[in-house]
Amino acid sequence: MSKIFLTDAPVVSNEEVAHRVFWQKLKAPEIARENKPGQFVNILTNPDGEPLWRRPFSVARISGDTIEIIYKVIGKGTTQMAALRPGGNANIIGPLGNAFTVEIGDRIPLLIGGGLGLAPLVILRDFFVQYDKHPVLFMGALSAREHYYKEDTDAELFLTTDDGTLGFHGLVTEQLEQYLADQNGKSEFFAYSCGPEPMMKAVAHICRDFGIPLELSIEREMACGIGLCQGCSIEQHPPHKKYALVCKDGPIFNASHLKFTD
Amino acid sequence: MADLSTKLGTLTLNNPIMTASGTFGYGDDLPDYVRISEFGGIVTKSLTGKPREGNAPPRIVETSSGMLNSIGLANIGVEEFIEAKLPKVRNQDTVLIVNIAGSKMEEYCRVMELLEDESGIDGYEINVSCPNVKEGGMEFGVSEKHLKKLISELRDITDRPIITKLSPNVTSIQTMAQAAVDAGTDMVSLINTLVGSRIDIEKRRPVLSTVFGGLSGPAIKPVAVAQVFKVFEAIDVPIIGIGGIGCAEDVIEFLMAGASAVEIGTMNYRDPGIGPKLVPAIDTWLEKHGFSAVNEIIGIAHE
Repeated sequence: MSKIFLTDAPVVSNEEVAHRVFWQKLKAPEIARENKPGQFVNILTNPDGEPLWRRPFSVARISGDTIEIIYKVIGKGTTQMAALRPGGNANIIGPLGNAFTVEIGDRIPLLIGGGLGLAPLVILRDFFVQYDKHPVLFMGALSAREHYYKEDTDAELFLTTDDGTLGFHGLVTEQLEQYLADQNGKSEFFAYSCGPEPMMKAVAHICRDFGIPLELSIEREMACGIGLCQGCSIEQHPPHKKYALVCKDGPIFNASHLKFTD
Repeated sequence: MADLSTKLGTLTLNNPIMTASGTFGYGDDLPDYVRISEFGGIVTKSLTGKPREGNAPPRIVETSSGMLNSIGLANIGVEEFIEAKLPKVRNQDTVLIVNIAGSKMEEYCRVMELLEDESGIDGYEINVSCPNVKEGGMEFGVSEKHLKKLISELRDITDRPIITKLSPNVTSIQTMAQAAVDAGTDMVSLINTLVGSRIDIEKRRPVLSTVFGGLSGPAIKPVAVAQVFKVFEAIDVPIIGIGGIGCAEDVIEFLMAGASAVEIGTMNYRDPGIGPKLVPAIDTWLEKHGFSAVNEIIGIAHE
């Protein structure tokens, strides 16, 4: 297996950046060094007890020897994470899983995120900006108070909200479709998406119609995150194996391989 | 330092910590920081005659102090194991146990026959207690007659140690243990998972695609300790204890109940390197309590 580290990572900061959404920075030099865009870390939120499983989070950004993750407080594990303060540690395993395809020639990267699905796209955005690839970002959320990525000086950014409180009033997929129609085939694209599965399915249909390759970052509950439990399976089309493991064969998949995008 | 070695029939383990089948892959594809030579023994994922895709998702769900799984014996098949995995895990200074499953007796036999031609395997664990596969396997775990027949057939094939892995989903686990001993098993391991289910109350449907799955983790530890305790009084062959073990004290508890070694399962998912981390803690506990060897406390709770 590739280089995977288990470490007690010191918490550098842990701030609420939108409604119940936290942006946490952890000092983890080895993981920061090895992690590629799209990979994730698995966090033991309570070393002394419940919950039993670690919680997986995409690495959203790397700066020096810190990794950054974005999470929403939903259950027991994320509540424990939100309580962490500088001086504390997070027990993490990573980097895990595969990575996004970043060798895309002259194609323009399209990054389409919904809700917490922005996390793995932020690090991808950083990568492309670093290499002057001019990514175009579509970021959707339910309403303004859930948006935590509101401006970008180095990339084109389209914001949408379901309730119209910020940016385009509607679905991120509507704006994506409009954008592609306006382009009228002038440019070639390579798309990446992460978010709720109905959204990713709609993105997959749009990309198929416009002939744009698409990679998805998939989320699943995981017991181990390293392929041991075989639990996080997702169904694929032949000739690919019927059930891929999101933790190991993914979390990044070519959208056309996955059954749910039909 | 206390003597941490333990005997399972003709096998000697450097320490009593083994891995439970299905929680450690085939022993080869692990993070660099996990060294299998630090385990007393490792047990592979169940192997069947042909590769199996496993059950439809969702096939795991977290529960209070535990989890349910209905993986359905997803595995690469015995032939691929022999070709791609065995060369990497044989001769690794740990006891290598290959777990065998099947839906028919012929399948168990064929898998074992293929493995018999291979060197570097120290013994077999026979999975007669997977609750997650429709077409069988489990019948051998709940019927005394079928279990006897299966273990007798396998006994005729191999001189290597046979470990029969017992199901807790029976009326009397002692009876099943005795049946396995009568048929020639060298030892028993227990317990496999308990049948359980969870309902998604928003969707008003079972969470698992198979409705039922196997419950594992700390939640089942007291059940497992009780079963080990009972089986220890019923039979005279070594017992391997399994069920929610996560710390040195848990290991001690199983040893006192009558286990000669233990398998760690669900807690490997939190940290696949947890097993070796318990070894020094077991040593410390023994010394602190005036014991000089693991075998001094095996079954001590029965005295």
